[in-house]
Amino acid sequence: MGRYILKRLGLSLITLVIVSFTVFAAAEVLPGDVARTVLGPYASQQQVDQLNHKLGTDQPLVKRYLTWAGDFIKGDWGTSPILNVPVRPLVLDRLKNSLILAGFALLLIVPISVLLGVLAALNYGGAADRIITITGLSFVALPEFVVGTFVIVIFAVHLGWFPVSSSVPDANPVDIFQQLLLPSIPLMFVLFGYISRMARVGTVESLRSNYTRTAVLKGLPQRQVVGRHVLRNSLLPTITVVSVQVGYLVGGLVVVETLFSYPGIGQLILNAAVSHDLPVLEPAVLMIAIIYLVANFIADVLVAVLNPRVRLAT
Amino acid sequence: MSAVAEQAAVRIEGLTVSYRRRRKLLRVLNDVSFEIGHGEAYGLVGESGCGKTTAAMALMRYLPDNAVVDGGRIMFGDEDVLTASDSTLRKWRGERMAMVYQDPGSALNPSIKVGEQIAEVYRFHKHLGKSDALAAAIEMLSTVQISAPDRVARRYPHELSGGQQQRVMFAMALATDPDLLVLDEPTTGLDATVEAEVLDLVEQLRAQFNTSILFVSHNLGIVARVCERVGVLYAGRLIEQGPAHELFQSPRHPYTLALLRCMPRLGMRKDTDRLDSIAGSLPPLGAEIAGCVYADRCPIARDRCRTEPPQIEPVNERHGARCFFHEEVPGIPPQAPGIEQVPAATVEQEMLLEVQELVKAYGSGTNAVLAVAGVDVHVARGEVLGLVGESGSGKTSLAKCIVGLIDPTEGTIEFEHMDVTKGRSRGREARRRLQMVFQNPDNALNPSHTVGSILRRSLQLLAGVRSKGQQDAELEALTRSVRLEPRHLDVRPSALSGGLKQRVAIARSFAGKPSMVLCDEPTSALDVSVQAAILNLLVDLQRREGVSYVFISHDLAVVRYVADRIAVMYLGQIVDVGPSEAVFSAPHHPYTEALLSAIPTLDIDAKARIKLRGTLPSPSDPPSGCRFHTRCPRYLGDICKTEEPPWQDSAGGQSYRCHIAPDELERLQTQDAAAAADATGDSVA
Amino acid sequence: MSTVEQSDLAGIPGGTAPEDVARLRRARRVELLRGLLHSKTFMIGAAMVAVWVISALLWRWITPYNPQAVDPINTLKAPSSSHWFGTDNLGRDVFSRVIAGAAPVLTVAPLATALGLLGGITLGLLTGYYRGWVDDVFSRLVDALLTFPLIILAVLVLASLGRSPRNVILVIGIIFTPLIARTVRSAVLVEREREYVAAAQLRGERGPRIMVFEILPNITGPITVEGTIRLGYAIFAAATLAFLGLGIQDPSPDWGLQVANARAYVQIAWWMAIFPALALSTLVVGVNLIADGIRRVLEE
Repeated sequence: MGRYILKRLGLSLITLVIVSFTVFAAAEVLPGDVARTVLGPYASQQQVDQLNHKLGTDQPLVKRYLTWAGDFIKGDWGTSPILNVPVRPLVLDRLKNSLILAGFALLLIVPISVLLGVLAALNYGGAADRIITITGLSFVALPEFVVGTFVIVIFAVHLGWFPVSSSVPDANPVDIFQQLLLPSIPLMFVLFGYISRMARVGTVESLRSNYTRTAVLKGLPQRQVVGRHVLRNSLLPTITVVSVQVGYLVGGLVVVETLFSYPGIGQLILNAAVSHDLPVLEPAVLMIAIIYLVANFIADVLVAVLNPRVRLAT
Repeated sequence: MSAVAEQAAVRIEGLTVSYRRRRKLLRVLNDVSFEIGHGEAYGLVGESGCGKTTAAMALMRYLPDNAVVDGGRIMFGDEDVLTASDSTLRKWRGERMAMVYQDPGSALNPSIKVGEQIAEVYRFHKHLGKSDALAAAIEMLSTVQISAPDRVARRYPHELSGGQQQRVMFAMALATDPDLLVLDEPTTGLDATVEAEVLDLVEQLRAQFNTSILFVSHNLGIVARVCERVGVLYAGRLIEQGPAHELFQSPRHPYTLALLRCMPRLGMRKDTDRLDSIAGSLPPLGAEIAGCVYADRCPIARDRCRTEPPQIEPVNERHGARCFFHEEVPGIPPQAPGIEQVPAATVEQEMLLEVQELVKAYGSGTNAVLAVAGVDVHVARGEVLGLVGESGSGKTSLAKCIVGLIDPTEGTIEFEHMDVTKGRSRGREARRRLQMVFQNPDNALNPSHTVGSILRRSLQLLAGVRSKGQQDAELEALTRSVRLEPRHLDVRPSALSGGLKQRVAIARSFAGKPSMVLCDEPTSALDVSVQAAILNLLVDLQRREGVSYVFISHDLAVVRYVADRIAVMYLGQIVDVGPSEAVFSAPHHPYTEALLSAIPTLDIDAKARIKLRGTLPSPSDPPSGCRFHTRCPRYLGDICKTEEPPWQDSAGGQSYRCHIAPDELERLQTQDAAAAADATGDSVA
Repeated sequence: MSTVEQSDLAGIPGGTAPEDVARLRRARRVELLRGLLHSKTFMIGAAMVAVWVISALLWRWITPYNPQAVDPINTLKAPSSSHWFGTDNLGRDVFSRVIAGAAPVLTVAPLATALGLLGGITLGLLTGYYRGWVDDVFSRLVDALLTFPLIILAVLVLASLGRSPRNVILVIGIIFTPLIARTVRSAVLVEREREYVAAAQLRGERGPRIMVFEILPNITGPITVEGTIRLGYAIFAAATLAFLGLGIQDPSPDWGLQVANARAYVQIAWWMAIFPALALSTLVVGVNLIADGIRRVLEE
């Protein structure tokens, strides 16, 4: 078990190195001259070169990567040349805002999705199954800005229940719902599609398995069969799916935060990318990768703890 | 054992079941009636698709969703299982009726400890508390002869061997001492020695519990060993039933007779005996048949058989057959025309294949697993070498090295005086001359190509036949040689039955006129009647073309029938090798002895079973000295643990690896066999 | 699939009677087609998609107004009999723009999917068949790639490469390549263990031929399903990128772009946003229903 966790941790770190290098390389090598962007089209080439030298963008890539990675680890993330603010507090603050929104969506939708997915499986082929499956299938296909537009028009414009654009809520629960419910609905639509499908497939598979047959033929009541024998095995894959969805969520956040003018990291990344604000863009994207890897790591460890076949294989 | 009691434990009356498939109802069981007495073991046998599993599942009322019961009753005591309320059914299941089936690995919940899984039965049916239930479960584990039951109870299923898993299933099934135990192919997929252990356990448990048993199997030998009465299913109909010995000794339905004649019995040899096979094929599922379901394949069918469905005609008070002319059945002559009178190809006496010091390792460093651990094999031109061993013995890895699908780690392979050690660098000539027939014909033919194009491609690449006209001629000859018909060439494999597919696969391997064909379990995926036809074909081809076979099989009767010489493998090594008859008679390696005693046969003179201790060691950490010493029934002492055994040569050209000398071993083995024969003779009398 | 049914029905050599044989040969394809026609999911999805495919092809002839024609007098008009879906902030007819808006998304998404399929099938066959270190490296890289949400990756690249439909196709196609390759690879891993592959090796076939002629024809099912699902994602992604301002630029009619422009007017002219959003919904849901229909029929 310990060895499994260590191995898993090592793999995550390797992936992180690859990812951070890719982020760095992609952002720096692809066309788009930082100094030129900062100084505008009318600056002389000499001024541009000078600024590039000052920013260190004329050094070899690997050397720059190492310097940058070292600074990142030390917490020295620099200043945004475009926004003229220190990067670290900016990125971390925006990240916090996004985590609040994403956490809200996850907390609300994961239990509902799992429940409905299991319900669909237990009614396999019946009306409830068809309705849940088709709903999930349709929800997952809808881009966030489409759903977002619908909810804004209906609930904010016509009914006036919610603000048209959202801000970071204070701790009071009414405000949390007021600010976060609308922007999280588009995210929940997609999440519901994925998670309920996985929960359904896992449960159906488990229901058809030979060990479920054994449990039924032992004469156990239906509740025992489902509770003890089916769900224990069928929900394991769902844990992994939820953790992979953390990655999706961030992508969805870019859209939702733009649509609702919510000050999160997605919006920050989009603006930084469009304006070539590399000192902001790189750590922001890297933070997302780190969060994704942490979520996956936790999910893998959780699955290993719950699944004896992984737990006992050393 | 006792005769049928006054009132049967279970009575099945007119059971008729269909499956709904694509808006059509296909009948799988048609008016099946039989009863099982108290404490009786009733065997239900038949080939795949006969409906035997459906019958077993109907008994537990656990049919798939698309099954429809069209009629009949299953009387369990005074109540009908098919109409019982859900709560009654739930009470019966687990308490009064229980089931053990194939593939114990998937039948146990992977994430619950086995002790708890057994304890559940006690908690729900006997209302025991948690710790009492667990104690009872551990007790039950020792009843099914699991050593260290308290330790095993804390294990998860994947930590147990196949044999242990099946014991756990038995413990769970018998926990409440049920009235009825349904066993659905409980040993299929297990190795021969494990299968024998499980069957021993069934016998012992029968003596201990007075449970009625329905035993469903495709293996006539096993049913003959376990059951008192037997019913034979064919195309959803019960066509014969009677006391096991009587039915197997003097069957009264033409199908039962034919089925029995298809099996290679010990003592049959390809040079002298030919296997019977059944012409034609099973009627398609759901076919409307006016008369007898077997009429199309029956040698004594008349007009009446095709128009009027026969009822079960009594042979005597306990034996009946669904045949108008059952009295003629004993007189049906063997259908096989005898040994084919083709001139056997003349064969030079020379070595064809020489494998030396072959090692195949998977993985590397400390994790390395030696699947083949130093093997020497040679095969002469025109000779059939049988390769025998259980799973994990390395026989498949050895075969793959020989045909060049994988490269050996060490050692050399010489074939027709060519060095073919490295599979990938083999020339066309070597590939053409050394081909392979695979185990599973469903897998071995590309489902998206037609039979014709599969064979043509082989002719092109192996025989180098390029011109269309010449290809057509060769293709026709090839098709005829495996007794396929030209119309089969235009179809894709999915349209063919298993037997026909295997013929295509055989034709493919013979396309380049090979001198050696490696047959990897070529009949183990096939039904007995089909197996016979394929074995006959292989034997004819071998005689006519003068090819050599390396014939891998877990079925000793089959190997004995086709092989000239036999090599027995255990944990990556050959432990016994020699002419077939010599290997089959004492003295032989103690492992061979155990394997031989494990085969369930139809012959009444049951032999003593040699029981192997423990479980198969992992090939990644083989035992020191003699690899078999951890399980050997003739274990001598430390010498077996520390010293690798020498090759011993016995009379008749056989060699085996053991510390016991031939004379001594022969004395021990014949002596034990005689003692065992006495013992079984006593118990029968 | 129920085990009882399998064990009982699998071995039945039904249909091997000679007269059946030729019929059976065609039967599989006909049966698949019939299955699709009987599948409500598939047919509804196909109808929804068909409407937009026709719009994309024929919008020049069927739109009541020129979708780009500005009309400064009639800006932000609510839906009426002359403008069914109203007009936008520049007085352009929203209905005409919705009809014409099918064209860019139905150009970008299929081309991106085709690119992804081409790359994914090639890469999947190679890594799945040859395995080895190339496969290991590939798997690691895909893992790394998956840590980025697709949209973020596209944003990064498009912001650097420049915004144009061509770049959108390239980005989505390239991001799809490893994802599709993963599906193809796992299908290849199953097939290569089948003995017909060993048999082909034994008769001396070369690797590329085995991949293309032996394995590929047997994995068309999963590839079709994957391709359809990916097409849905491609529409999703292309529309989202357009919404974020990274794809096609105004004044061309495009649903994502229309919704983005409508954002500022949502409180006074909801129709500007709702109709293109609805159009997009029906298209992506339609494609997903088709994918589900195909999957069900293939699994039967």
